[in-house]
Amino acid sequence: MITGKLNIFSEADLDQMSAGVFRILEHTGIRVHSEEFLASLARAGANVDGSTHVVKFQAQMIEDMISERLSVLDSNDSEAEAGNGSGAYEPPLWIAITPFFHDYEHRTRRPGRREDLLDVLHWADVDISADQTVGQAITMTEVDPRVEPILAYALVLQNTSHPDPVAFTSQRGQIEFLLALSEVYFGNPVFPTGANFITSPLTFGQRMGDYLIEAMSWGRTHHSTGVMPICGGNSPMTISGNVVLSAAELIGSWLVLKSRQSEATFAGQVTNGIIDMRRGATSFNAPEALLADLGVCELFDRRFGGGVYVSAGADYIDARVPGLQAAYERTYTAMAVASFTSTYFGGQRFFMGGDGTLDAGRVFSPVQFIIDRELGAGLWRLGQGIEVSQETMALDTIEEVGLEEGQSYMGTDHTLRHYRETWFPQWLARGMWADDNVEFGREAHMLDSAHQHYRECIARYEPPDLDPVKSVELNHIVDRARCALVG
Amino acid sequence: MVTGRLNLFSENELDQLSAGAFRILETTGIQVHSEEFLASLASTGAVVDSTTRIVRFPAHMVQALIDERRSLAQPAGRHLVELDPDYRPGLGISIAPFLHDYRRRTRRHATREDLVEIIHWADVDIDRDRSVGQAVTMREVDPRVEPVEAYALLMEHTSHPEPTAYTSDDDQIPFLLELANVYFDGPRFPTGANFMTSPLTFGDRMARYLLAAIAWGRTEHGIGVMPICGGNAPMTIAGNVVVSTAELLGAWLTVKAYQPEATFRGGACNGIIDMRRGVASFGAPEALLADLGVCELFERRLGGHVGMAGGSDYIDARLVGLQSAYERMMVAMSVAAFTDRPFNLSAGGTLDSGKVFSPVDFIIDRELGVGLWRLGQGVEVTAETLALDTIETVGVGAGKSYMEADHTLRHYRETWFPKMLARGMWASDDIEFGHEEQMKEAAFQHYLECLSRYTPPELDEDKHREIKRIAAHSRHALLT
Repeated sequence: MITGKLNIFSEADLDQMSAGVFRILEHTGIRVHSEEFLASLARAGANVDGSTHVVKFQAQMIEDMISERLSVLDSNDSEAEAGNGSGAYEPPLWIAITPFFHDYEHRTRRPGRREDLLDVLHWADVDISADQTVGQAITMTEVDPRVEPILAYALVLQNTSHPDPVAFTSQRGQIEFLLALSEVYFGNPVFPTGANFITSPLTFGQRMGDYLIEAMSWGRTHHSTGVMPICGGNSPMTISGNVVLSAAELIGSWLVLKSRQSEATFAGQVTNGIIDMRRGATSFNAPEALLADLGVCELFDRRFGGGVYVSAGADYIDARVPGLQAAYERTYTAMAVASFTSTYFGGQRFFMGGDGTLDAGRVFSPVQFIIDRELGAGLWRLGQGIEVSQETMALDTIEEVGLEEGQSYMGTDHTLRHYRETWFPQWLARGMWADDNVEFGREAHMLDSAHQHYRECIARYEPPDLDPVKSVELNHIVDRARCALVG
Repeated sequence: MVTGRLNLFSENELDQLSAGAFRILETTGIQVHSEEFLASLASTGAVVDSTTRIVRFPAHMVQALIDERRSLAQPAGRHLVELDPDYRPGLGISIAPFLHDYRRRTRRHATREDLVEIIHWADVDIDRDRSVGQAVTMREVDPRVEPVEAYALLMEHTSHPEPTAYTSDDDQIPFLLELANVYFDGPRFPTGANFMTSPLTFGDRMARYLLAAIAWGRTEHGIGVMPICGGNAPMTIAGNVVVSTAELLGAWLTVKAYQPEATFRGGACNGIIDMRRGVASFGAPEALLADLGVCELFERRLGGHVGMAGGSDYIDARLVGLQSAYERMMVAMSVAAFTDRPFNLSAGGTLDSGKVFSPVDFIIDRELGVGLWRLGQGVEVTAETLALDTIETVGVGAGKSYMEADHTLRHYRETWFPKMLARGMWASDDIEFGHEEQMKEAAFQHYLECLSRYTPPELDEDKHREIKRIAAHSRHALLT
């Protein structure tokens, strides 16, 4: 089992940053766009300015929250221990809700449509392991956004036998319909994920407030909030300034929720970015952005009770198409998350993730997903480490093979027992150079093969055996939602 | 400053692996193809079978070596290494037999003309305080003299040649020493055949090279191992780690018997047989785990000083692209995380398990390596970088921006601006789908531009004449 982790900060660094977070929450505060939360904050003793909606927190309030977290959660100050499971690497298709679809066949990127979503669902139903879930990869841009998440969730439920139970909601009004859909399909309601990110700098927005109030009303007590500050845009240019701002935003948002629901517990997500001033563009995959993400996770691990992770894992990369840059950025991020954090993405440490997205989460590409899965299997194998036992040390076999020239392990029973345990990549090249045409065309062939695999899966798709009564009921709920939300 | 490391093994597992290496050295031993070393081994208490040349080592001999090594100063960990502000790799000695000829879209045997061209490019493109080594071997030159000719070419064609030559045979060593003496005003002992042959064999060529090094006065020796799971080592990774460890310790004990004051470094470059394809892979995760496992076993039990011989150089990808980027990053980041070394891509532009050199790959890897280097620099924490005053000044609320803050102006240049990697908005289908090819083309154009800017170094005429004379002399001596 792989143990240990890398650290960015010294104890003195952490003390400085921790003090910085307290100072920002005490003196600058956060702006809260929710009357309900402002009222509960005032009751809980925060310093609320009713006209500006700015809330400042006394040090004691912050201290109490951190003490509670430290007492509940593993601080992870002790040596992190985690390894990948012994099974094969079988990633699910997460909810990516990208607005664009990478149309490999036509070598273009275009807004996602209903037919794309259906294609993707059909492919994923066949290609994603049956014990892994299939979520909404793309949004349907031709569908009214007020009802799109409801229609998409219904399509997920109708078109795959192993749908992701959790829907995504972009507005408070959609939640009742999403709950109704899950109740019909699963027999019990599943609360959707939604707008749970702070707006930088230091703003707890109305949409987030609405969503979280709804979650509380429904009975949820564990909340995950996220931050996404961008160095040089809505946060300081320097990484440690970004870490302080991110941590203040996370703790501030938790204090807001805690004021209304005292039993609430929290997790946090970070997806920091940086402005590349030469291009005037935002990058979520620059090393500085990655360091900011890792820094926030470490500050929480070592000072604030842990529970914060790099929210997108290796998902938010700058590469726009599958290829060299995407492979570099994905591997870079996934390896950094595995090495520096003890709150692992998806519960696994060496996990490529990626979800097939490109261009900072704006584009979904089935080809990229299939390639990521191939690359991720190698990373997964690395994370499984080395098994040490009498059998794997093979001392008897080493003695048996001995030193005679020409002796080989190839013919031993030990090799026969174990050779299948290695990872056999499907598309990556190994062995001798074939010829110039094959080798210079290999990457294009790999991408073509991934696309062919996508098409073949779609061809093999058969609709799931869904109770027709349930299917009709799902359609009725969508119709009701359309009527209620769009008119 | 990045601190800490990842570990593969528990204490108990390290004990088992260590005991396994002891057992192999005591009961199986190693085969030594050298009368000189066999004689010295017999005199120091090893059990030598002179007919089979098998040498077995009593446990106390092995333990004494380990005790001595553990008393030596260990190499500085990542957090103690003084990092350059910028990533500026040199061109190492790759001696790849093939060249990736980007111009003609082919892989072919490298020639003298290729080597000279690469040296010209590197002379311009590699920083002056970094050295230029022999990237490719010259196919048409007789291998008995090729290392001497190549070393002479480096001296003649670049102002910052790698001082260390490579030798494939000990006969070449006097000429390489003579060349170094002329150019650097002092001899530099060349690197050479210093890898064990698996399983457990101390070969004749390695012995001759090490005897020459000892005779020259070298007391620190670097020795490597390269066992391949399922071929000349057990299929399982733990078994490979045991064989690698026994080979390294056995080799060191052999040298130590001849030169008691000798100290050692080790390098692991393990592989695995992919039984579905019937080929060896040095880029497989299992091969990487075996390398890391050997390093960790030495680090935590056997006195350290063992690293990954090939770094991220030995990958399976045959050309620069998706696979090379993936394999390089996985290896380089593993080395940093598991062996406490700096975040250094350290790719020498080689592909196909070190068989092919590609200038285009080197140039692209250098771009990728900057990003990795930046990660390893960590996060600076000071009152200035914490920016608390600026955070308070900008305040709260949507629409507030740090863009115009003085603090941003002071620091925005500190970020990494990649030259070739894409960032920002989608341009057009043609541009985006052609980006990777355009990146390679840009790297190749950069290569050509460097060639066009090359001017020969100012080499003292007497030295130049002397270099040519030594090369000619070596041809006469080694080929006739």
